[in-house]
Amino acid sequence: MEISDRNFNENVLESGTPVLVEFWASWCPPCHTIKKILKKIEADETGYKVMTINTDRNMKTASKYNVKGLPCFMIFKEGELVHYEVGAKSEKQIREMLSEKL
Amino acid sequence: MQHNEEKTCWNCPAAMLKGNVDFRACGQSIETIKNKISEDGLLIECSRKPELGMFEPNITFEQCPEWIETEYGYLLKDMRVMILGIDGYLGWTLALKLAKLGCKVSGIDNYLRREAVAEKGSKSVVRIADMETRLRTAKKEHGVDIDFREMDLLNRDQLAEYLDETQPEAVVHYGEIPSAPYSMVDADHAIKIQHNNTLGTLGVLFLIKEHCPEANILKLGTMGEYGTPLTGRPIFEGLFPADAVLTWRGQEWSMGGELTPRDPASFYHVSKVQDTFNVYEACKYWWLRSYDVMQGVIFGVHTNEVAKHPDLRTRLDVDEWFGTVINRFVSQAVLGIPLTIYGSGEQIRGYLALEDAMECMVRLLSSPPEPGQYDVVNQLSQLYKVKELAEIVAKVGSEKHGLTVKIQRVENPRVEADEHPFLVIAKKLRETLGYQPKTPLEVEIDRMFTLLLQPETRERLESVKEAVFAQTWWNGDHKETMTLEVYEPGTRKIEGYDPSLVLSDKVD
Repeated sequence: MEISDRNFNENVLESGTPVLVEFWASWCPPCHTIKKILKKIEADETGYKVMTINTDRNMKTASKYNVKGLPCFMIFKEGELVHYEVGAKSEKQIREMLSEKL
Repeated sequence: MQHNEEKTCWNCPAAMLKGNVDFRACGQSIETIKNKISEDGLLIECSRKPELGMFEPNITFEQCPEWIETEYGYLLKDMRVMILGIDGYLGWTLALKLAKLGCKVSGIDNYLRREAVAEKGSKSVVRIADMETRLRTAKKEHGVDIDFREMDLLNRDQLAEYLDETQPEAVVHYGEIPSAPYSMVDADHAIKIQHNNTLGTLGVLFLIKEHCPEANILKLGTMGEYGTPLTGRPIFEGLFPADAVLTWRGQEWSMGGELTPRDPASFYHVSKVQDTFNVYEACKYWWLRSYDVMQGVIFGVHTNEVAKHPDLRTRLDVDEWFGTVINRFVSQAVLGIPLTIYGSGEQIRGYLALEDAMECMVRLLSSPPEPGQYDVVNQLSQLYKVKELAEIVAKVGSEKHGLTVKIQRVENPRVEADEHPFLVIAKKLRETLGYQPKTPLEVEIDRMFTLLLQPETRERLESVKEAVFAQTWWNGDHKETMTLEVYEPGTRKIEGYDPSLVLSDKVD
């Protein structure tokens, strides 16, 4: 699900389940290709949500969380940022990151 | 459902982003833009509807009255399209098609192609009118106005003025010298190609950044950029897919979104690879948007628009420099010369008919990437071996036109793999842009025979027949290629590797 500055709090910080957020931008080719993997992971419904947010269009959030490279993955749990990692990942690496941090 | 109905203002070149949206290069600190963040969120203006004021850029093409439904998807009404190289084989054909669809077409050309073909002692075997006649006939036969300026794209001052005047919402870049053998003649020719193509494109990118940064750039690349890797690894659409992983020493890295390897096969192909990097970087640095079109080999003479009047016909070259293989085979069959296959003839390439190529271009124009997005499509309909094409041309020539056609294998003057695997992915045009090839190979070959067998065309063909034979060797020699064997169609097996074309995710 694509989110924005406006509904970031509601969808991420106030979420009852942990959330993986991928920060992306149109000029970042790995960000485009990785969407396919994220959709696959999202469809698994394994107790966490997967959200994507465009950094250029949502600079308030990107700035607040100090995004400095893309794609940028963050994991939020009970409103807290528990993990921050930059760079494209394979499906296996994303799944490993999720199981390790959740 | 139209393939582009869910695209939004983010894909629309009429959405004015400059000054409204800040952007930055990858990895750059965003400290500098913190003070520009608005509490109201992100708003834009529409250059076509300034009365709307500032609004959120989430109107879909389906909802927007400026995007109108056509058989190719929603198309921006009266879209202003500039074609660089509008006098060429593809440029003129596309100009007519777009103008007929209601686009406001402008274009430049310095007639470099006409000059280069004349340099070879050849000419278009289909008679083509001069530009003035073409434009006048387009108005008379199709009721369209196409704006043309004779101009070298390397003349940036002139082109800048023209861009300011026309404010294109899309730029189709066909303004390159498209010949591998031409680039291999000698240093002068290689330098001319790389100068025109690479530096020309670099200059155009700077101009687009300054004068029409929202324009959708359709940059013509070629499948030849990829080469024919002997490992048989897949030829992806320019960028690795997300599930491509590099493994080394027990570790793995995602390759998703990285440019795939290029292995150009001539100094011309090198110019195209350099273009790819320049376009890729320009999108990243300046938020330009572009499709890099890795086009297969085009063949044929027909579109409804060019066929309407002899003065609207597009050029057809058959010389060794500018004649593509199917076009050369048909002309040889008409001339009674055995069709010349280089080497084993087991080379596999991607092909598509002129008519289908034009449809692909319209679809790409109908679905601009997002600002900053560099995307790549492999634009082809089918894979064939050269040997197989010779058989098909021979069959159509003999069965439908009563010609006696033979095939000859000659020495291969090129440095290329005669036999190689070829696994090509060409999904995007079909899966996301709704393209389906419409012109069967045999149908277009038949049309070509019909046109080339007309007395006037045949006479022109006779006058240039010496130019058809390859004399440009990749090793620098200039000599005739020796015939290795002449054979009757149907007497040789197609051997070696099977071509493999992946059109959907199911196989990928």
